[in-house]
Amino acid sequence: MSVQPFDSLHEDLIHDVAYDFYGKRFVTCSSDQKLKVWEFNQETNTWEQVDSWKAHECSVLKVAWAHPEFGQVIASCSFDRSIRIWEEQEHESKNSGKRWMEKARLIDAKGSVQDIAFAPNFMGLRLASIAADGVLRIYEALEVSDLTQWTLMDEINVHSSRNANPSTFKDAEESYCLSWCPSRYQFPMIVVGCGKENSAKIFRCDQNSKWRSCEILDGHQDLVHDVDWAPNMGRSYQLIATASKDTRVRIYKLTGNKDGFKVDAVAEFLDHDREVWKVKWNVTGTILSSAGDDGKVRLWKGKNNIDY
Amino acid sequence: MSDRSKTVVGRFFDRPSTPPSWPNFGQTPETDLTNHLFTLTTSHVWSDTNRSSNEKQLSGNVQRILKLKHNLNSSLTALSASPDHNQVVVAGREVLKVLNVSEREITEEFNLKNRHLNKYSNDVKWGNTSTKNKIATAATNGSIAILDVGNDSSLDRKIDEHSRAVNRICFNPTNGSILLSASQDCTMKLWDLREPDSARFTFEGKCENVRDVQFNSINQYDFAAAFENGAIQKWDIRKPTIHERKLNAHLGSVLALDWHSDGRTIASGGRDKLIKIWDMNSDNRRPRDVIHSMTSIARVQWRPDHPNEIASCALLSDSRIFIWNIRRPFIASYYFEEHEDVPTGFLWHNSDVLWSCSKDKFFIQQDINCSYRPLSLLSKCSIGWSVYDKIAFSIEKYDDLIAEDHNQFRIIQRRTSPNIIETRNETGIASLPTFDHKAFSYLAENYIISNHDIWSACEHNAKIAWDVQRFRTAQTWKIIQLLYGILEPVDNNAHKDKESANSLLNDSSPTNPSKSSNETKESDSIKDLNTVTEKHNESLDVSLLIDCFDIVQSTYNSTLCRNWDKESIMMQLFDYYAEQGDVQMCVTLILVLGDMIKISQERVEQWFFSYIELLHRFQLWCAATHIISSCRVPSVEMMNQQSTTIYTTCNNCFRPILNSRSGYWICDKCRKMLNPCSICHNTVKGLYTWCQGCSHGGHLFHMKEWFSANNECPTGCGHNCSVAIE
Repeated sequence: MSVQPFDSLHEDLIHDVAYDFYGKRFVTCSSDQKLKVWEFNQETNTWEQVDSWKAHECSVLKVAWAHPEFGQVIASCSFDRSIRIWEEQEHESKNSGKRWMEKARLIDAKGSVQDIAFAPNFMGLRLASIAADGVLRIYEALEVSDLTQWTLMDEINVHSSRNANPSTFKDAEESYCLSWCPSRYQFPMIVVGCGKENSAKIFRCDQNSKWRSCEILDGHQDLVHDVDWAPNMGRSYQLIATASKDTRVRIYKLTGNKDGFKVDAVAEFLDHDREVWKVKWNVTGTILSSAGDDGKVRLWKGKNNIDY
Repeated sequence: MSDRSKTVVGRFFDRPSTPPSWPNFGQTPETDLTNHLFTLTTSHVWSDTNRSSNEKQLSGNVQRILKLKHNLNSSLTALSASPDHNQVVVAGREVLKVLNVSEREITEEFNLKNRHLNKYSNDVKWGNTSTKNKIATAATNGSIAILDVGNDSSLDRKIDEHSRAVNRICFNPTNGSILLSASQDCTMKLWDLREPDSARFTFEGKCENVRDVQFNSINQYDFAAAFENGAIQKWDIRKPTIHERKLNAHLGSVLALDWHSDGRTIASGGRDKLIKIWDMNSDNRRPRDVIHSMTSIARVQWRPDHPNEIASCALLSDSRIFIWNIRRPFIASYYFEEHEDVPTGFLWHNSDVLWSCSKDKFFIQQDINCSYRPLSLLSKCSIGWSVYDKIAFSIEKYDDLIAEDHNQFRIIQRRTSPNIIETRNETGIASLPTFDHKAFSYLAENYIISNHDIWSACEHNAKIAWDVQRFRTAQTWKIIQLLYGILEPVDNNAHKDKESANSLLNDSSPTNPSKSSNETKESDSIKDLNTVTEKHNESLDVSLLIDCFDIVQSTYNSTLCRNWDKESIMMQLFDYYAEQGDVQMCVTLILVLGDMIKISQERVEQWFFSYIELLHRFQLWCAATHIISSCRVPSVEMMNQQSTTIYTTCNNCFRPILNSRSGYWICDKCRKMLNPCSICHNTVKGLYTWCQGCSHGGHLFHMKEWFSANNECPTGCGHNCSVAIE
């Protein structure tokens, strides 16, 4: 294992890192309101910054790449309650600050937008977002060539009990996160970390294109900070990892067919001992990484398949 | 479930106010104003850890009220505290009230509005020293009223010297008789309230509407003014003709400024969403620090006893009051979110307690301990996986790095340093030896995936896997070869194999040496495997195959136990590789074995899609296309027939060719045949070759024939095509 440090040149905390589809570049977002794109330089064997620009009016919380079949597109979301869509301009020179052009600004959220994720490419160019108001919003660019038009396809209040009362939330007390199910099932699914309910829920889109809350991943003792749905790779089961404020990383195993899952908590790691903020699976869904306030990135690898 | 419900100890609605101790000036107080809403909050019930951590230290102490709210039934625009900080005057469109504020409750002292109906008050200030019983209010019509709250609350004086609205007024902190005003009419005026005359000085900013003025707290002659055109000016009242210093501070108007208690630093906030910190004693024309806020800044105020902290509130649309540390320009240290509408004024009661008023009609006293700390709400770390199993991560800064191997977990361990404010993220990229993409690519490009000849395909694939040190995979291929190979001699071999294995089972115990002997003997019986097993033994010596043989063993065992139940072995095998995330193996196996195995269509689809996506990620387009085209699952096969569209136009009239009655070979518009051969004049269906120079062409064989004898274009256009070809 080798660790190659690099200087991010960001002026404040970095909140998210996202690689593109090919692993050739990545983008970082930070509280200094900037996005930076990095590319690997074969000659010097280092990662070089290729562009940096002020993207938002406030801390940029998450950043995501779209599938390259839709072009070079980045989405970012921020505390300033907006989601912005950026597209690379090939003709602008690198590090000009103009290479990534803002194509759209989605401002439906009534609180800070806490997580965004592009749907798997076979569903088209879709973006799911969740904001502090507890509403899951799904956007779609119906005409893929025109990134300026995003249609708000669905608005789902993730709290079943709290009936659409968006004025009662406080940014500071909510924590939401989401992750798409990456496999090609008949129905798209999203797992959502549901703020103060201290649980994550799976939302499924049925035949009538209505999103419904289905299974609940419970057992958390505090806010769920991050969820990640593992790539399936043809396994007979699905895995979802969660990171929680209660210092634990959990792995849930979903077995069953597409009509419904049986949810088992298969693992719980206490090693972080501090708030855990991020969980992420590798491309094959075999290794889980987690990071938390203890300042460590931990990697978890399954041994004997399920027994982590 | 809700934390908030726990936090409120008691709410009292419609509680009548304590009888006003102050005479009511012969007027009945407006009864609707006596509606009080008290939210009493004690420190120890704040269970939410998002709150400031200090609070934990407080828990267990005597109950302390962290937050008091008072409803004034009218939106408020400004507030000012009395010099002894026991009372506060709040002003709004319909109210001008003095409130008694203590640690436990807020009571209304008296109402001034009824008697002195001013216009909408822009600002209110409580005097000091000689004017400690006086309150000055500034109105939108340009008049300033001085009220005496000392004895009978009479109108002391009314000044109508500004022609337009007065935005801000300010008493001199050392001499309360000196009153300064900032007006929309582009001037600042200074009065000595001891003299009944008109303004002693008028300061002409000569630029724009004045939004804010404030005296320096150390040097009583200095004051600073903020202008709508973005400038800040520093004046000395002894030199009323010209400003001492001018800074072009903000883009757009400057809305607020505040002198630091050190007497040399000014903070200014403007419509450009920045708070800038200026050192007025230096010649530097650039700000010392800049804080980036989300919204335009309407008010700023330094926090007492915390020289680096400054509070601000927004002009519009944000109801929060932020407290920034000037060394952290992007993330506020604390914020209050108690108001429901934009706060219009606030001041520090002491270093921890903030008084604020807002358009939401509330006056609130709140302690810093019930604020939120944005830092605790933001993740301080991030990780991203690339397809090459590299992790990019960033975490808060740490000293050293220890890589640790702990049982089956690999852990990157980093030690934290307690530095909080000046943190920069430590970022790095860790390459993990967990996924060998070179091997993956090599296998992807070299595996045989046709099922015409399973025996040789397995043989080849085993060899390929061996090349990249995938011994286990190679072994699997060999087993598959044995199980499914259709060469006649193979079946015999398999039969022999079974026999020998059976005999072995009788006399061997399942220990490691027996395994290898098992292998060796088996392979002895199979000549084809000789070379492979030699390598096996080598690799055993190198102990690269620590647990590599259990699958082999289990496969053999199960073959023995279940009498060659190929299906179940294969299912086990597929499950095993799927668990490993090795879709490459699954897909290749399916392709090689073809119809010989039955697996649910759905799983096969999953494997194919995953594998193809992986190939795409590694940019192995050819391999991916190859896989797609040889796959027999319809939904996968369709992938190659999607999203590839070639539009053609007629070579005569340049109209687009659509699929019409006549097919693709004749243009609907000009009724001419498309792409005719220059030699036979028939439409070329199939390979069309043409000269890049003159763009004439035709059937490949016609062209070859022609150019074997000629140099010029067959159409007779005169172009020397053969030269162009060379």
